[in-house]
Amino acid sequence: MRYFVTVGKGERAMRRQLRFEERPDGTLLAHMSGVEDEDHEHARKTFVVDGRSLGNGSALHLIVGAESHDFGFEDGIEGRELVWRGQRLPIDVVDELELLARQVAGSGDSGAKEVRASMPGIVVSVEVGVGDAIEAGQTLVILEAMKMQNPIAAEGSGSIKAVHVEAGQAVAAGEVLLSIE
Amino acid sequence: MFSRILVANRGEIALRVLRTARELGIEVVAVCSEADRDALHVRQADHAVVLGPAAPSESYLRTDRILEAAQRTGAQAIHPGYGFLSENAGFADAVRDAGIAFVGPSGAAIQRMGDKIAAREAADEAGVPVVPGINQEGSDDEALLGFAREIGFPVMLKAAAGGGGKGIRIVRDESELAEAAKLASAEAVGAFGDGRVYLEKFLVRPRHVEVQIIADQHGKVVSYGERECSVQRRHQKLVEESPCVVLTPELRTEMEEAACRIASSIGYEGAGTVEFLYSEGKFYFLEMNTRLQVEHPITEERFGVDLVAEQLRVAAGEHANDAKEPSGHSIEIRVNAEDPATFFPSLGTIGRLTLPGGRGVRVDSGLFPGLEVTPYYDSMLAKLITWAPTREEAIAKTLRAIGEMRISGVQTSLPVAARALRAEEFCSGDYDTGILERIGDDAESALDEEVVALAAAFAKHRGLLGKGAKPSERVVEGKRTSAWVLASRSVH
Repeated sequence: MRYFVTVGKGERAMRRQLRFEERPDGTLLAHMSGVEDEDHEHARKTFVVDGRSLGNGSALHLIVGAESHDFGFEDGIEGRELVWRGQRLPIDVVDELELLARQVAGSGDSGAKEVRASMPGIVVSVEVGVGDAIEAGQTLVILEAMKMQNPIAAEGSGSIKAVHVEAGQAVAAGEVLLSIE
Repeated sequence: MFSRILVANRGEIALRVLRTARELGIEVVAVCSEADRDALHVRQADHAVVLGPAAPSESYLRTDRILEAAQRTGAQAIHPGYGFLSENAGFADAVRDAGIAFVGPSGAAIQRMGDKIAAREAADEAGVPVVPGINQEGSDDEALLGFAREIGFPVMLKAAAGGGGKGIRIVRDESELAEAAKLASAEAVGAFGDGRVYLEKFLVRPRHVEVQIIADQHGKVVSYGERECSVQRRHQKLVEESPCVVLTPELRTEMEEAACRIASSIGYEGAGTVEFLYSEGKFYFLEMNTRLQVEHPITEERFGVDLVAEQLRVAAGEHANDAKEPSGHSIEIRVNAEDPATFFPSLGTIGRLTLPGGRGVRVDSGLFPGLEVTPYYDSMLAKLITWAPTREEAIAKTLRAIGEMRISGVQTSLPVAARALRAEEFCSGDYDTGILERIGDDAESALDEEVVALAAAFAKHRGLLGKGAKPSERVVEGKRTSAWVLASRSVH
């Protein structure tokens, strides 16, 4: 069974393929390579992995060869995250069957991007209106939480397709604030 | 000495006061909001009174309910901690009027230092240099512009009723001044109920250096050295250290004497901190905090003193101890519940917790697995304090301790603090309040480490990547809803 791993998001994400072989002593032989459609050829590597999960699956310790690596897991807004040396990394792992299912379903990129609240809070103000042109770094919405005012800025340029919230409204983490195209 | 005190606060500082009280044989009355019912300070106290719902306005800020709790339990003194009512002159007076000792200065002293314009005047009168600025409130645009030109741009617009880093705006150019003043005044009215603003010169590469004092009721004021708190983000401190490496012994003595002079001149009692800005070899009075500060532990580690014990002793009428000779170097980092990339608050339930240990490592925290991090209170989860014989060792020890620390369930500012401690600028000791803005983001480095892809695949292979519930979600009335939305419904 092959696994297709993406760590991180966007252009800088790391993508690899992995295949495991079970060994008699309970460790795994891991074969790692790059994914096919990437420009840069990543060398094929093989590792001997002794892995243990702790507690209720919230932590993981690997001995890779003789190196010790400690990980945690958290639930982020958009899915599971791996915690490594204090950094939280979004991860996406699918096996061959799941990858096929995804490809059949199609990604359906509508072209519209959504700006979501990354934390729960109260909308203080909406700084833009439908039809406005926006650029990267521009403040779109101001959210208040924990006695601080937090500006939500645009990640790139575009124009406002729709505004889904208004001043005074309480929003949950992950809730869509604006649509951009 | 008191036999029973009430701690009018929550979180780590409530636990901090409780610990010292316990060691002194004093019984503790804990108060809490309904949201803090499971808190450590409540569970460990001798007596506990629930004040009301989660919102501070219904609990920790309720003078009436706190006094009622003190009277019902026979508390002889109230320790206000920091934040909440600790710098509320009306509260200090109300406590004393009720025949209860207030662990802190008089209402009058709190009032005087709480008004930042009056505080600058007091410092000036005590012969202490103040940041070049204008004490009068420039109420019309023309007068304000005139003052600003006198001081010289860039200037800082500050709220007279502000403090703790809030209500501050930098104005670099004449053209921005009128608008900035309007916004600053509006923010000040909203945050402090007082729209007065004043101007100060924006100093070159300023360092925030503060002096700890303890004053007793017999006129004695003792100083306990300084703390440097220049690693800040949006004027909120993140990393503090003692001693401040740029101070010469002469400058240190001058600053400590200045701090004591100010405290004496206003008849101060209790623990207090005089904050200065250091720039280009000179120091200037900034403000005085009439309470125990968050970062007091680094002073305790160097001077071998229990500042809460000193507070209780002087409040009980005893004479202040002389300060012992300090030793070594101490660093504190604040661990806040926030996304290290965006600095947005991170809410959730604390899951697994691994706290660091070993020689010279201290953690002051109210954390426990199952603790709910809510939007009602500030986001500080813990303080990590280290002590070592030298600064280099203290930095290494702090980084080592950060590496051991695991807090699951929320995101924390630990990576940001670690980045600051590894930065060349910090290690050299030649840094200022702009340091956090300048150091880069190394979060990308993980994406070059193939072992994380290996771990992700391994987790999938072993079935560890099941879907968990989204953070801060609760099922209410059959619908998923966030803890924040729940809270705002119950408040309004």
